[in-house]
Amino acid sequence: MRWSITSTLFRKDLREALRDRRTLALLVGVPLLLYPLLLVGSAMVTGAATQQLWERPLKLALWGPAPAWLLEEMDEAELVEWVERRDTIPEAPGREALALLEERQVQAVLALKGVPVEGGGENLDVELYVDTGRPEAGVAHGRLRRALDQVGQHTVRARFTQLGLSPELAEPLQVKQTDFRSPGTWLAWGLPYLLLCALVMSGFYPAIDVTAGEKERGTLQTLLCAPVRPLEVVLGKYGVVSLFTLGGALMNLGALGLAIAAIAGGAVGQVQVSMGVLVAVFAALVPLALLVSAMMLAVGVMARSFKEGQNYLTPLLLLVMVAAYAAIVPGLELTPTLALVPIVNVSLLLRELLMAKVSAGIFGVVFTSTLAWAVAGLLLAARIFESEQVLLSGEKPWRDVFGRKVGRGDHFSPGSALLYFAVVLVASLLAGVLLWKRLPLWGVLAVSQVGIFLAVAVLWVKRSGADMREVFSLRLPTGRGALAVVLLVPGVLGLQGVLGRVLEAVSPPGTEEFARLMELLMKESARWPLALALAVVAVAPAVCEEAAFRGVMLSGLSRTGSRTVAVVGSALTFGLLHIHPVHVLIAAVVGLVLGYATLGTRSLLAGVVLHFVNNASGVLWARMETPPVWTQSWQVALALCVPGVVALWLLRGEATVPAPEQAAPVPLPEAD
Amino acid sequence: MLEARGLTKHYGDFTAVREVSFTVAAGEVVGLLGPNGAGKTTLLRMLAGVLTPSGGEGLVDGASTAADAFRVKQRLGFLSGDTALSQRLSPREVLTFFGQLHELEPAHLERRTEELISRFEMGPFADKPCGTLSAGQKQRANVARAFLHDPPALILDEPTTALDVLSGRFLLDALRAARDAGKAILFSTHVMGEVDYLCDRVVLLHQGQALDQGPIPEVCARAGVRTLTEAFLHYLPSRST
Repeated sequence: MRWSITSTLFRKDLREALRDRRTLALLVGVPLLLYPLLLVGSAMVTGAATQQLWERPLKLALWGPAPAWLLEEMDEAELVEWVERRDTIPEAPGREALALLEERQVQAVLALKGVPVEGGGENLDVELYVDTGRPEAGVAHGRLRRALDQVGQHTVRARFTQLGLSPELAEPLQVKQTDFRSPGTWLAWGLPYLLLCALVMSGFYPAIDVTAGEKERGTLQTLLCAPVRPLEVVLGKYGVVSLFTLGGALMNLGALGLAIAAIAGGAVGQVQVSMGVLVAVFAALVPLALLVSAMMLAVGVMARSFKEGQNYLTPLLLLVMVAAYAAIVPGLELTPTLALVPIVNVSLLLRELLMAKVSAGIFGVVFTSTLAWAVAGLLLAARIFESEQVLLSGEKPWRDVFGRKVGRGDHFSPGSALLYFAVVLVASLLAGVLLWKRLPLWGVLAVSQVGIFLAVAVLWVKRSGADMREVFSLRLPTGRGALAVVLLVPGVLGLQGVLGRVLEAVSPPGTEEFARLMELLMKESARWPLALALAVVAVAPAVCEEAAFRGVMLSGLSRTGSRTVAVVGSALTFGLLHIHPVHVLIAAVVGLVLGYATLGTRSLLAGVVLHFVNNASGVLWARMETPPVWTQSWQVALALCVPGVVALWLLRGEATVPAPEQAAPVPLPEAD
Repeated sequence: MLEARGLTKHYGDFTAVREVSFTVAAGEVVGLLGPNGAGKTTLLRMLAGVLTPSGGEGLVDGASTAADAFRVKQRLGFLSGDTALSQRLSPREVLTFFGQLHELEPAHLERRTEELISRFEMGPFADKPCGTLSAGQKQRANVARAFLHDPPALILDEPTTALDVLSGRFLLDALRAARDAGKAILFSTHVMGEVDYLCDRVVLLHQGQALDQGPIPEVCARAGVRTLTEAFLHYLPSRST
């Protein structure tokens, strides 16, 4: 794959999309208008209407003998217009009251009946006829009940005074209420829905335009006549659609932030919309935008015309809208299981973020699982773009897309490595959720490592027809490589120390939570026998995760022909496996070293040894009373890094990858 | 230079093209003739590396469509009634884009673009969006796109469809000039006059099979008729049922 060609395709599609006024209007115009209208408009309209309901006189009908004091008290307690007065209650009061209410002549009917009280005097039995189903009835009913309560209390106090008692005796309970319900809460419940809809709408037209639109206009066929590879085409188009979905999300967030800052002074009720919150919300939207773009691209290319593209993508739009509704559903919380369900998880996460209730850990689960779905979606789109029948006609696509390619040989590719990552990531998260309460922690770790990372890696490579020895680098390092590994052992420990010091100094969000989680894990492992702790925390990850990331991922991404893509890609995916954002950063940095060492020595043993040292040190330190000096001192940590740097220098010429054409022979497609 | 070796394409049970073989030498124009549905477009797409053959192979300047369609596309200019240009890009932008896809060196690409704009008299509309151009102007830009990387072989699938007489003649003259410059050209059309004007040899295709091929006088002689149209009609009625 040539990045320069992908970039050329991306720039061409972007230029075309930006010249489409409809797309620009959706991307820029709607957000700029939507949020000010939403915040100001709805507040103004709702506020004005509600104010009117409170200020207008209550229109009431009064039936039965009404004492003068009642009318006086009611006039004092509320603004009342007695639309109808009758001295007697009609024979069918319900029917007549309903007629009055339906004709909207009155908002309520009061039927009064005197009830003698033992020992003299009279109480009033008040029958209220209302229709609370009417939109404005809530306010009117509330006003009336409050006025009647007030009149009742006033009357009791007057009677107590007449009897020579303190009127305060009439109020034995002094209830004061503090309501934390805030007028801004609705924003945290409603905004995720709006943002997700805006995100998918922003990519809707560009996705159709670059797929079905290009087919309809005949430009896709022109492109296919040029020397471009399907993966280059799909990545260029994916870049454009992702840019629009992300741009849409960014525009919506920006407009929202501006609207809130300008109108509500930075916060609406409980919802603190600070820059930090907006950044976190945007970060949560990134993997979703990537997922939605991949889905739209995959579906859009099946269509043969723009109109057909709209028909195909509309159900997808509805699906996103239904899933996005999760944030509005009362009682639906972001559980670990729901954190794995695409779209629903992001919707709930946004609500939590806006309410400032989310932990970095759950953020990490949602982020990485959505990213895994996005990778799977992109690979599906890439697979569809490889189908000439889909690109040229759109007929009989599914057999063409999902039909197994015939021909023996090596099908292992960067795409299949990425799909492996998506599968094991979701599987490991799911296993964690399902097994957490059924197995002890060491059991969960062992099952994840052996049952998912290692077993799936072996099956994946076997099925792809690749050489297991080659993919897993199953060979001993050379003498130079072995020396480098020995030098990297203190280097890895030093790197641990440096990373710990950097974290302390910078303290990014989630650091404390991460430290707490690690402490819990290490304390738990300290309770196990040492052999068990080393087996599940050090040996199993050293073997299984190395097979996965320095085996499948590193070898798969090496087939792009780029050493940088291989090392950085395998390190990033290794980092993402660790879910918690702070852990992701640390693991990604360690993964860079492990990847470079494995590539340089051409032996998985390098990664296994260094990974073991890294994890085993944590197990051992947890059992020591005082932590080792390099975890406390910059100088010692840096000094330990020196041999590691020498080792990397030793490996500098060794870390190479095979040319892509040689590494990934393309099998002939199936003959129909 | 350009060769079909037993090219075959199946769509499920339907055979669109069956074991078609022919060659086009450098400096030669071969006309591919056949009624609608004869399999011309499928055949040309296979030769262009856009469709994968079910059997046989195409060769373009030594590159095989079966083994390396990518190299085939580098050595070929392809133009058909279906290959349109981006409506929101100008002809100059289209040429630059395809030049970049062919990895032409920037200075060379710029020179080549200007040369083609001048040669195909595209100056007045070179910077207008293709969506605003007439059919003739669009086809000039499209021909320029096919010629851009100076390929040794050209495949043109009914390129004069929807063109007026002047634009059609302009295109045919451009192809004659290309032939004189040593290009191998495979040209499909329904218009017999164009074949007489341009082609050195013809291949008659019907229901996916090559019925006859050779220089026009020889094809006419074998059919026992005087004109190519008569030869075309001679072969078709007896086989179309």
